Amino acid sequence: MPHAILILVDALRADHLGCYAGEDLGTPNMDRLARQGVVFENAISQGSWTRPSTASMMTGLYPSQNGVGTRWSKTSEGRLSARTLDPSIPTLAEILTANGHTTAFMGGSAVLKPLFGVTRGFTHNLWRSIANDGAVIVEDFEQWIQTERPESSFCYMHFMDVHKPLPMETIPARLDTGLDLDLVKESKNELMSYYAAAVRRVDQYIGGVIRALESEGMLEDTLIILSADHGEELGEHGGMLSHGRTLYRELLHVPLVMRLPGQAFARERIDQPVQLIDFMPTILDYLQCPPIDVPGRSLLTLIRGEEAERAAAFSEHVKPDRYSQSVTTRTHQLIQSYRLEDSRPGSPADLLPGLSVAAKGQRIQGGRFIPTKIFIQGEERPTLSGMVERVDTASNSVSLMGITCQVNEDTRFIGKEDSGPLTFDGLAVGDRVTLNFTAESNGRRVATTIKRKPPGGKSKIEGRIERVQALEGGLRSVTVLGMDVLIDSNTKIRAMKDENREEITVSPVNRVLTGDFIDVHTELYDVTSDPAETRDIVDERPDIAQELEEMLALWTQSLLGQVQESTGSVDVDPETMEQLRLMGYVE
Amino acid sequence: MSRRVIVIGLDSAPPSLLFGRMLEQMPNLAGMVEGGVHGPLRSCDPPITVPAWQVMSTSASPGRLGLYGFRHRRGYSYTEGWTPNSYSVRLPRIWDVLARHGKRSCLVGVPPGYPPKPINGWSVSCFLTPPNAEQYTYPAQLRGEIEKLVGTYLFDVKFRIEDREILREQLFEMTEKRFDVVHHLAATKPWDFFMMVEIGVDRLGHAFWKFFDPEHPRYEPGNPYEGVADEYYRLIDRRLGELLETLEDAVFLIVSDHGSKAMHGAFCINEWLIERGYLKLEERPESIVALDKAAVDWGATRAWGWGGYYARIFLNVEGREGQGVIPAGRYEEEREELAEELRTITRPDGARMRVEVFRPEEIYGAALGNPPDLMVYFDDLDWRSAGTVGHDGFYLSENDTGPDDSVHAMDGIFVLYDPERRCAHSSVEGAGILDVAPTVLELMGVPAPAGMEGRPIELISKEEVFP
Repeated sequence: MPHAILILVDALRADHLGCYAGEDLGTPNMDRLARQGVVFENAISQGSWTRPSTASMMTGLYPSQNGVGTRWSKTSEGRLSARTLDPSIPTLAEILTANGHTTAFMGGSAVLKPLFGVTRGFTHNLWRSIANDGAVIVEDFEQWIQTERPESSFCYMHFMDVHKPLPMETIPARLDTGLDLDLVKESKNELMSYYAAAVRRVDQYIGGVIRALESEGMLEDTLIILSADHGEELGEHGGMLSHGRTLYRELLHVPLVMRLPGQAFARERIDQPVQLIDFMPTILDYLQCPPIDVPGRSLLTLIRGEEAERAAAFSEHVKPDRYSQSVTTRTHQLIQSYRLEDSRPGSPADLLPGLSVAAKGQRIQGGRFIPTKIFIQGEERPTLSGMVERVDTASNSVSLMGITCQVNEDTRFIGKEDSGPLTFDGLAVGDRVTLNFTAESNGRRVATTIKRKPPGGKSKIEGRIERVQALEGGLRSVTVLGMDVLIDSNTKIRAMKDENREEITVSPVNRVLTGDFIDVHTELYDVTSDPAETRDIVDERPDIAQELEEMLALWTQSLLGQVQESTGSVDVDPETMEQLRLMGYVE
Repeated sequence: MSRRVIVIGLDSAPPSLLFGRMLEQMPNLAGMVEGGVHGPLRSCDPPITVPAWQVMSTSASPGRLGLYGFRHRRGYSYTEGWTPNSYSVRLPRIWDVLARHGKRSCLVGVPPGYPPKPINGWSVSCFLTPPNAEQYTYPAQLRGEIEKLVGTYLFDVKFRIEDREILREQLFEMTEKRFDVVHHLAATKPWDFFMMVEIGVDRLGHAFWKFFDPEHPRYEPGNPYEGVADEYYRLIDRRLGELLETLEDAVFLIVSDHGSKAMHGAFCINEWLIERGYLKLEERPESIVALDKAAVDWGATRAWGWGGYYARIFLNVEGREGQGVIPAGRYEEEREELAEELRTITRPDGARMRVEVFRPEEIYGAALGNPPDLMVYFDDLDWRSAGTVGHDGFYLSENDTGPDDSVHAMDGIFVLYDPERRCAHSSVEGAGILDVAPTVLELMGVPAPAGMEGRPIELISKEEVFP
């Protein structure tokens, strides 16, 4: 009796598997699957984070078509709401279940919580809220096949071992390195070895799944698909252990190994671009279900050599103000990023001299400041918020974060209800206050208001960016109030919300096709000679760029009229919200 | 103020004809010249159709567009080439800018217009459309509308053929059909901006120049095609009159991408490079062949050239070309030496040619894509460049790739005519094709994006009036 298993490792990069790297990386179980099966050299995810890519896998549709590619939105009460998979879109599990197969989902990610609809239709949904330990999934799987003993089945296992959250101790090491570039490098190495170790750990669990199949005598009846929903950034384009921001290859190129029963086609390697949307038709094909009309195509025909050439794979990244598309061929990748709205800035590159910003975080030695968040402000409001370091009644001054401000008769003191009014005399070293000041032309700073703050909490500085410096390792320093504020691409950068902005409801596909965007940026990479995509060759190779751009345009046109816009949304409960926060998906 | 604008492109139309002997045959055009602003319109370097129309649409130099003619080298390959299509242009064109402001455009035949790229409006592809193309319109169903109107739509004519009779017939048929389609679209679609290009004007010049221009070196008085040009321009004028009548509210801008003039001959650039020791063939070809069909001894070749309206010269550089011989450190020196030598080229009678040699990165600021190492104009483009080898000598009286009577010239034309704001016959010098996009955008009340290199013709004309 036929069985199909999808072993999916969240955020697993292809190059961390021995069978892709061509050397032993401590992944014996995945490498064995590769030796016994078919390896796809150019498997491309349709999105760079879990929601769009898993939805693509489960529906055979591109993110624009399945409608769950967008991020979360905040309700007026500050709760999250998220789009759900529209009930009119059939899922792989629903079709298989309807055709009499037993279907099971195991493991999980907060993103795959049943309420979001992506895992709709499984007869056995063993989603767990916390499934960072793959051992649990292996146990669930063993138990499930022993108790259910399905005649024919499909099981989707979603491993989270490689995904964030990281062990907390690695983060301070990274943040406190300041301008010491050796330490930056060291902390980067630390994170990379953390990631590699997680990959080796998940390999053990995958070994456990194979052993369970073997001991039940199911291995030779089972099609095993090993893959990932997206890759992970390891410093290629500024991000460390992050994803879901760009469409570069480190995020789209995923491992894909298919072990067929009887080790058919073992050791074959296919370098044509294939897509995660191909999984659904492949599994339907293998479990002898009628084909479904989706853009994804069965990989079995490709493996059997019944198909000539698959030219390209496509990916999308949807944000409210931006929309990116990517096409990957065997040799090249072209990315087009459309700016749909005059967007709220959000990248370190948006921080330019003269801009007023507020940085929340913590001051470290050497006059440096490590922010967790930076807000771009409309107007300049010089502010210090933190612990009082010095009070000098002789010169009428107070110091915070190494900055001294004069106090005069116009300075307003604001206390807190429980501790009574605040006065200059009542101010003591160690108090936490927020101090607004004005800088006079002679450089003297005069406090306008000093307000007492509750103890604890983050420090904050606000002011104009005086200088911007690019440092090594993707690090950047902007000087505010004379302090070097250190920024890497994980620093959250936000502009103050423009309340007047209208919610745009037209699909980005339609906007691209009608030219309704501000501008478009095109990048081209040679993925064979430059897999890390360090050199944009769009201006050097117009011949290739025009070819790929045409492919992308034809693909975009093919989406017209198929864009999913009616998808409903659900409120996200606080527990899920917290999990999403831990995973780095929401703030 | 925001107006509808229609741009009527007459490929290759020169001031000498349009503002000269043809004007009296063209009462409608004459009326527009009388009541509007007109003048020569300087083309780009090189003055060639494919870059020029896009330079006009984007107000960016060929270097920024990475378009140096029609055929380009694929990377640094000796033989492989690529040709631009509608996806080659990565800078915003007039219609892209307008789309952002919700305005709709209709394009007919603006090169390179194939494949028809999605647009906020309607588009019919250009003379580069391959025969039997499945989709040549956007949206795709527009094709049916066109074929219901004119039957088989004609994109171009084969003009480098001996049989002028067939050519003449096809030329007139093509242009009539084009204007049928233009008139239909202009009258029925809710467009804000319309742009058409008639390639037939260029084809007329190439195929019939020696028949109608007494100044042409091969002109024969009393030949049977003496009147073809007049007849053709009258056709254009009649169709222009129809559009003027239909579109009472639109501002008309009639433009050409470059001018044209009688060809004096072709200069065999590769024969010259062989003689000067820059290019080496393993054996002399027995007949006349293209260079990539000849046995080139690349290991002993320092430079080779391409034919066309101007010569493109490529150096064979170590580490860049597959069998490069010029050490990278000697590149500039060798390039300058060759440029100097090119400037000594003479006419068949021994008199010096006016040879202009350009370094792409110097004339454009940025030279993206696959620029040649040197660009060469022979005698102000009176002589075209012949890339074939196997000739005796350097000079051909005929083109080497098929009969051709004309070459391109730097100055094209423009006529700006607003039926609602007639002004008295003002002539403006100094406008260029870079100025077209800013002019259109200003007329339409849409700000020109930063990076457009030209400025509105209206401004230029004011400078002329009040210096």
